[in-house]
Amino acid sequence: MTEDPLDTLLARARDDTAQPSDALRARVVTDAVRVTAPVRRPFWRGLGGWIGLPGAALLGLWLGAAQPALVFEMMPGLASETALLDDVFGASFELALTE
Amino acid sequence: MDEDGQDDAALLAQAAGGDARAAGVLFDRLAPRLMAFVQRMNGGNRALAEDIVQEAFLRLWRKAPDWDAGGPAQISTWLGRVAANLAVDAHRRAARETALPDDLDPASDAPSAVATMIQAEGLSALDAALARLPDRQRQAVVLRHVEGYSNPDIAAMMGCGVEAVESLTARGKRRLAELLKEVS
Repeated sequence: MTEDPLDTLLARARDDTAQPSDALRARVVTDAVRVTAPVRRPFWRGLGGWIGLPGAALLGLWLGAAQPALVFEMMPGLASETALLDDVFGASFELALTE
Repeated sequence: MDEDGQDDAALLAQAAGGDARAAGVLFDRLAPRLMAFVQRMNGGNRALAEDIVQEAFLRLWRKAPDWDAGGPAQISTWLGRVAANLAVDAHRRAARETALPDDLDPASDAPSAVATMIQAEGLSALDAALARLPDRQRQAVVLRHVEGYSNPDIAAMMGCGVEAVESLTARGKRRLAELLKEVS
């Protein structure tokens, strides 16, 4: 056989097909469904940092206002309730209280 | 675009959204040609070809959410390249395990293969002859002369130099012509 008919034969092979088995089709489609399925996460995971930092800040504020004794107990260096509020809001808070 | 009005990229986008029907249609459309190519690459091993086709599609599903539908890449071309790389890798693993030299002709003393070829015609004869080539020669010939990849592309896939690819394709094609001449 000369090379020209061989080239023709090789070119014909380019469009050749082989029927895949039904089992392979089933495996491939199962893979598609498994890989593309949305990942279910607990709803609080979605909230992430949005709930963490503001939540901690609010808890700290509430603790300072509602449970000052507990704060003094944990931080003995603070002299008084006023000093604690000063640390948080500055002198303007004290001024507002006296008005 | 197929007769059902949906192109491959649209089907892939639907498959990426979990549509099993779209995944099946895309498989039906692309897998037959891919199967023929991979079988030809690995000398007719159907079980290995099915494993490679499954892995190629698995990689396609993983890539689906990021697929650029407006880009120049065709899904069929992308799948073909992935499958070619997988077929070459499979050959490398098998060669390491069996430690056969690349240029060994595994069927040179097998008269039954010649008898098979004599009775075969056309593409069947081509496949029988290809199966008798050494693995790397066969892969280089299929990638170059059937699939139409460039020599630098084939060199990258096969992990060798361009000159080695030129040598493999030239020797492979010469040997192929001799084998088919025996048949005719």
